[in-house]
Amino acid sequence: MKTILMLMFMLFCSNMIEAQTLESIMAGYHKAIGGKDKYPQQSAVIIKAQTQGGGGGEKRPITFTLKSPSSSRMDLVIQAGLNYTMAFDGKQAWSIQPWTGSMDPQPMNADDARDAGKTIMFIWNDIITEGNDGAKLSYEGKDEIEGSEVYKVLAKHSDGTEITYYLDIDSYLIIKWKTRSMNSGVIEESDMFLGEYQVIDGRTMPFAFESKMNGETMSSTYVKEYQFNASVDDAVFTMPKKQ
Amino acid sequence: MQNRLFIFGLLFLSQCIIAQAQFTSFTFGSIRAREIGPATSSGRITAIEAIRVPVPGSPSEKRLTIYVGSAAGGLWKSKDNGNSFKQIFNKVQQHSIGSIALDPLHQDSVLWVGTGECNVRNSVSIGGGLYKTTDGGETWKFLGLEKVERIAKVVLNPKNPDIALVAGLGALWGDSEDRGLYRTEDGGKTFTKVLYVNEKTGCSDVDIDPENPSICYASMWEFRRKAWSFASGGSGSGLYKSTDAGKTWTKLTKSMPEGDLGRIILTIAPSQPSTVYAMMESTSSGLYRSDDRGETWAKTSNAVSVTARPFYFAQLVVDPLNPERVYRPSFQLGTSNDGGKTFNGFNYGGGTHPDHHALWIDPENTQHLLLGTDGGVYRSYDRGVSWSMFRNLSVGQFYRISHDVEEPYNIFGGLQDNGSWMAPHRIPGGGAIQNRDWSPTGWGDGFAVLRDRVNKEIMYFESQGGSAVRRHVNSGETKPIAPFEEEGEKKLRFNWNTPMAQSVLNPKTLYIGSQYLHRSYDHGDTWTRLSPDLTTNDSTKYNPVNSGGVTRDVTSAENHCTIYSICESPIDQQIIWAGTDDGNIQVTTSGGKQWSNVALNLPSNIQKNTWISCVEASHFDKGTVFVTLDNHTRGDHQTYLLKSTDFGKTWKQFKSDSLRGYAHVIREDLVNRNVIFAGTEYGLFISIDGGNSWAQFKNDLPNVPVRDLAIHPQTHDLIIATHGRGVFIIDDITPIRNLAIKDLQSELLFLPVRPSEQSYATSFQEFSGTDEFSGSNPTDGARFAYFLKSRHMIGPMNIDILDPNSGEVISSIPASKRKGINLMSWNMSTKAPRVAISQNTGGGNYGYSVLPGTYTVRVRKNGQEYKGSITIHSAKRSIHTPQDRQVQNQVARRLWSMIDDLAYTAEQTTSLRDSLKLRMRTIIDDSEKKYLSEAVSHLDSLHTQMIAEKSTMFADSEDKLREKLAGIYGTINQYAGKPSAEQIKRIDNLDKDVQSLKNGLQTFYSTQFGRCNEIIQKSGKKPLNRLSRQEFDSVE
Repeated sequence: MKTILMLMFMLFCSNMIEAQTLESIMAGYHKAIGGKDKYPQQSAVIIKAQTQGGGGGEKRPITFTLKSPSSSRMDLVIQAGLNYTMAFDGKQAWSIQPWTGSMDPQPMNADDARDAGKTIMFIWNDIITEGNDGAKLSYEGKDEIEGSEVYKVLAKHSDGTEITYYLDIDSYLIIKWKTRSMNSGVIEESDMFLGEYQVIDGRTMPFAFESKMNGETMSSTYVKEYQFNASVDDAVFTMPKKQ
Repeated sequence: MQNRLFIFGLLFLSQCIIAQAQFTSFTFGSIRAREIGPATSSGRITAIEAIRVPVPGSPSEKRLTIYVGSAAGGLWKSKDNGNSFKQIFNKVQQHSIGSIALDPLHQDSVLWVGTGECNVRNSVSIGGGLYKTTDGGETWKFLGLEKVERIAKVVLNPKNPDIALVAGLGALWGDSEDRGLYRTEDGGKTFTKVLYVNEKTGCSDVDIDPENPSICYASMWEFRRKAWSFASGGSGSGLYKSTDAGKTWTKLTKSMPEGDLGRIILTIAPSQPSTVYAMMESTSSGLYRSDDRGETWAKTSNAVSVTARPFYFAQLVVDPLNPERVYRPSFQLGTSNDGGKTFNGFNYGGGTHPDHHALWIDPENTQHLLLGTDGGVYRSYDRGVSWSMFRNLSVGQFYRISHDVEEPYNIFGGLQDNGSWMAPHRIPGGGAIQNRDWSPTGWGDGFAVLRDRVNKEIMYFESQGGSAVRRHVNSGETKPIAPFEEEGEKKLRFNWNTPMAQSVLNPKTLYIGSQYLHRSYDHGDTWTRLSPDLTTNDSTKYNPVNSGGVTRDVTSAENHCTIYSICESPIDQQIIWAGTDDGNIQVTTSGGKQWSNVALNLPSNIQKNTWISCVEASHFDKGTVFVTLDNHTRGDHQTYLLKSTDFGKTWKQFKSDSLRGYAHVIREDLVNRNVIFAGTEYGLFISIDGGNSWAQFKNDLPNVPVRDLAIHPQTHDLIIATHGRGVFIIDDITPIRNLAIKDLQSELLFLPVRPSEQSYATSFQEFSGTDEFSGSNPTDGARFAYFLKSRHMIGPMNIDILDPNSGEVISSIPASKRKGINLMSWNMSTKAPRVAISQNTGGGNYGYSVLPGTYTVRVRKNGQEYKGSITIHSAKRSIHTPQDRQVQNQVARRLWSMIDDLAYTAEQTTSLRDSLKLRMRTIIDDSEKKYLSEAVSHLDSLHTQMIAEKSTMFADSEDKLREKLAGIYGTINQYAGKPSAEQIKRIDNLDKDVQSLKNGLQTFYSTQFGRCNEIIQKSGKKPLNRLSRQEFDSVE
């Protein structure tokens, strides 16, 4: 009898564990990443990393410069002396694509600009900002990602973009986010897997970002350094004049 | 305190249980199945719906969204007028589509799908209820009716689509009280059965008057299929009408055909709803027309195109704008333009696959038709006069599969109503396997296809009922070779899907099974009977002459009491196994002299006469055999997998909650006897512990019928014949066969893979658009695999490829971190050289290929180090000697160094030149200024020789040393053999140029560098820096 009672208590406990809400999941996430207050949105962050194609392509230095509310810049070293730059100053997105034979900056179309504006979510994702940017969050239940049990949190943005966050049920850290957005009249989906978390100055940060399509790794980005509270001039996000 | 300890103990225990890694579908990790088609022959289509949907962001423009339901390949959606299709039913564990209904008020998003095909032929699959999506197929909600098995039609009230009528045809192989017509008023939350006749009679069609939705029509059909017969018709069949929106029904009796009715297919003319057409099957089948909303009927035609095979052709369509234009998809697209009085002949609208099952007519342009057939979807823009095929739907229904041992090897298989086909398992040079890579090898319904193992110019294929044919590939001749009955005997009984098999030990041996086992040593020219009748020889079960019921239908599909599976032991030719469709498992250990029916020893829970769908003799032990039993023809859908280790005297049944679907095939691994593969009506299942536990393999392999499996003995690929989605391949099962249950607790464990081949085959340009099916090739990279007990989440994890001798890191690649087997790929290249900085890309910024050999893989994970290896072989078709490869590698390495050297020289030159230019500005003395200016000119002249200076997309337009080196580096890397004398001469010359530039720079250092710095330092500026090689190498 005692055993049965104990088992019932266990079941009760497990059911309590099961009964997750959006609030409890976000609380778990914030705790897991070291506390929400560790990510002040008024500061700028520089992320120095290396990126590599699937299968063993060259590792290329890449730097992300992010500044709230929505400015971002990515500089990818294609080869020594040649950088692919993509930036967004909150209004306009632009890029320099050296493989075209031109180092002139070019404005990006509205869909690409919107996607460029999402680069900042490397740090200030929807679960940290908790909808401050207008996104509506909802808990979508449990799921499984590559064999790991996860909680699903859906963020619906006012521009139609939907981002689903998959949080590991043990650690509450993000395993993956899936972005669905419209590009040229077609819905595009992309999967970003996060991993290799490490604690830096009290913050639990992902050090690996893998972009996957149909389960195959398309590219991987490995962070070498996070520079929080960096001093960043807004001018770096503004499209320069043509050379 | 004791209680608290107990709770903690329990909690700890439960955590331990949770932490134990189980053998599940996720164990297979990133090992994936690769789809190769074909879509050129496609497969049976059961339903088509389409709607014009506004383009997002541009609502005035519209694109045609098309939904296609297939017999056993799921539901597909195109959002681009049919240019491409995406499978949208994978998450729903059903693959057989009965009907599709678009919500009339939300046609862009709300869709109801009834599962279970209702063209109830012998090989038809089953469904599992009704599903609904409200987001265009992104997510699905199960609405119930799971036990109905087959849903013939879903119609929604045009004014209130929460009201729906669902025609539940029901079970094919047995009685069922779940069949009948169902109605919902709440969008599918609850259902009421509103029309039911008896357990033998299902609802085969239903329609709602679009003008007055209170008026509805439904047809009921009494039918039954058995393994040896089909019967359509009976007293249960009839046509019904409702005038209260489907709540109550009245049987229509006025002017109906006399006698028992069979299947009735009905449709309302959308533009004139008082007119209703019905194809009524009876002893005098025909098209009937009512112009008073079903009250009275008149027969208008008994054309064969109308009355053909009602059990198989179940659609009747009226033009949306013209009530007199009637289409009857059957063998061909029967078309009447006079209200059903006359129909076009069989030759009308040629070019499509015969046997039509689904038709959609564009309401905005009724010339525009979409037609679903036994061989895919076709589109016409001229009302059926001419057609184009959608070549992007791989929904082929294979029965049997085989392979040869060519390089690359070929796969052979026969498909339901689409003949026999072959294709290579990969395309040399990379790219994708496409429709054009598939070649037809036989006709009719296709089944076993074998390539002769002695003379590869000979192939064997079958069409239905054992019509075996020998094909001579080079001459193109074919010769029927099936054995005949002996004098005075009745015709031999061959199954619809007759087994044909070869011997592993004697490549000349060919077997075919009727009720007897036949063997030939001369390519089928003469046959020897190796057995008596191995079946039950029950004469009540092999008289299909009268099969069909109201409409006679005899095609060999109901042939019974036949051999269905043959397997000669791969280790003893005297041991031969035969399984029959009426439940016998026969074995001989004397090459056919004596036979024993060991099915008598099967466990008692298995019903007598259960169909033996596969026998597989062990590769390791003479007495061991595996069998699958399939009892779905008696309504039993359980998975029966069994093994005997004593020639069938005793049996062990494999049981697992993971198994699902009636079983078609079982294969024992060729290397590890504990690894077993099984195919069922719902997918592929694998055991790694001798059958004790099973897991479904899901990675890119949908829940579709797996009818046959073959393990290639050289590549270790598992070839999967699906009956609904064509052929899939799991490239290299070595990691699976080397994983044991105990390994599932390993933190990280390297698993062996087959050696990788290094291919230099070139791919050529091709721009084929997006409207053709495109399968995939195996990865070109060198593979290795490791198992992870759980996902790596915390801390660094990285992978280096090391030279096994020096330990030097050759390359580093991103680590896969998922739970289960992580299958990785390395591009077999070294790191790239640094290239001289330019405004242009290129310059040889990539590594060269390593030599074949064994390399060390090092995984570092949270401070732990794990080591495995990669073995690389040269391609089997390679024409080069190891010595030649060595030379190529040395030359590539030499060029790599030259490029890297040039980068160093260029960096020094550019840096010195630019620094000098900067410092010159503050020099006042003219002679000093002139000296520095000359130095700048000297450096500039070096720089000009090194690097293209104009920024362009095409760097080779300015042919400088950097670009020249890149060019020859590229050509050396694309060919694995010895470089030509011309190439070596070119490299020697370029080497001289590199040396010349280095010398030129050295001259600067020895003659001008010191004086320049004197001048600069005199002016108070910082002297020039001489960049050391070490400094250069340390820069990332």
